[in-house]
Amino acid sequence: METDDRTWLAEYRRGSVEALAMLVERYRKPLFGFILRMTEGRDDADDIFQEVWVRAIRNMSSYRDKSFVSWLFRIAHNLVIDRVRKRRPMETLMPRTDDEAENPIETRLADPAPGPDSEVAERELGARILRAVEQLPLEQKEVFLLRTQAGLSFKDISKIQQTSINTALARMQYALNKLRHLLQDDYAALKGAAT
Amino acid sequence: MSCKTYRNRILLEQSGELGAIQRALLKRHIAGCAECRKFKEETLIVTDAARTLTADPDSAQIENILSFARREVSRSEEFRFRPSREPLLRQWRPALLYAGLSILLFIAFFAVISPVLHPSRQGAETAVMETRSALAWDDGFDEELDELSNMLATAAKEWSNGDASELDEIERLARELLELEGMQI
Repeated sequence: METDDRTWLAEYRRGSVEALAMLVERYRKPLFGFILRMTEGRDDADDIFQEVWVRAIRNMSSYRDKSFVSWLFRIAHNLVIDRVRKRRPMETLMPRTDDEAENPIETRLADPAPGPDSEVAERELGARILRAVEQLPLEQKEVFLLRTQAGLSFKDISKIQQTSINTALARMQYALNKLRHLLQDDYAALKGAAT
Repeated sequence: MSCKTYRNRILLEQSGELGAIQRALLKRHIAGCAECRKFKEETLIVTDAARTLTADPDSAQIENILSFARREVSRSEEFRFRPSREPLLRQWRPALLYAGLSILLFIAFFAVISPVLHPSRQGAETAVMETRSALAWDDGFDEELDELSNMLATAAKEWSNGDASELDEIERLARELLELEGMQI
């Protein structure tokens, strides 16, 4: 997977826009999904998604990371944080402690109302999970989405969030515990769908 | 070890970041812990279902991005040869390394080859040392010899201070002294 990324990156550096198109195609859904869940609406998500790629393209010549996907999501993370800070200048997203299960600021930042696309998929299994995910505090939600949608390792997630791997794991555990609690009634259906 | 630690390991196992020994220990723990077994099962279900939560951006967005990339590519004729933004020292590191090695080799070569290129200097030095050593036994016994020996010492001192113009003269003097004493070098 990563080898293909490097090949396409190398081709793009030689001037092939088609190679970049392959990269955009590969990551457009997980990247846009991540941004959409982390922001407050589709307009924000559209802006940030485009800005992520613009920054990636501008800085492609200085890109030296091992993992392109990790680098891409790091750009997205920074832009999301910037956007949230602009909207809430007095509030901070920087981690304070590992035990952050109760974080009123971040709980308020996360929009508990279902997004417009979840109405369409109301009866689908994914929509129930989506609503549960939207109730998570921002940092826990980010770990959960980076792990499930981007498929990043906890090592990469901890780098993106500039925290320790244990903190990233703790956030994932908190997120999963809340989701397990919120989805208690749906487990029968979830188990059925999984099997 | 607490269940919380094992649950971290369950997450690391799912992300492919757990070593073989820890995997084996985790497997043993899960076999005997119903709560961790449930956590693993439910975690798998939730994360698998969450993978479907992707969303699709407008195709116009994608086209905008690719147009920007095309402009970036065509903006500079020298796109392919864009200079690296790496620090200058890193760029020049190999060149500096090879230059340093070349200088060391050059110095080493001349240290080895110098005596071969200047045999007369080495010969004169040896002659002075051996002559003074040979004459040491009769120090103060023969005034003429002592005077010549002192001349030799003075000449050798000048030579060691950098005046190498009279090397042949020093060697000749040393041989003369030894001949007076009936010795040869």
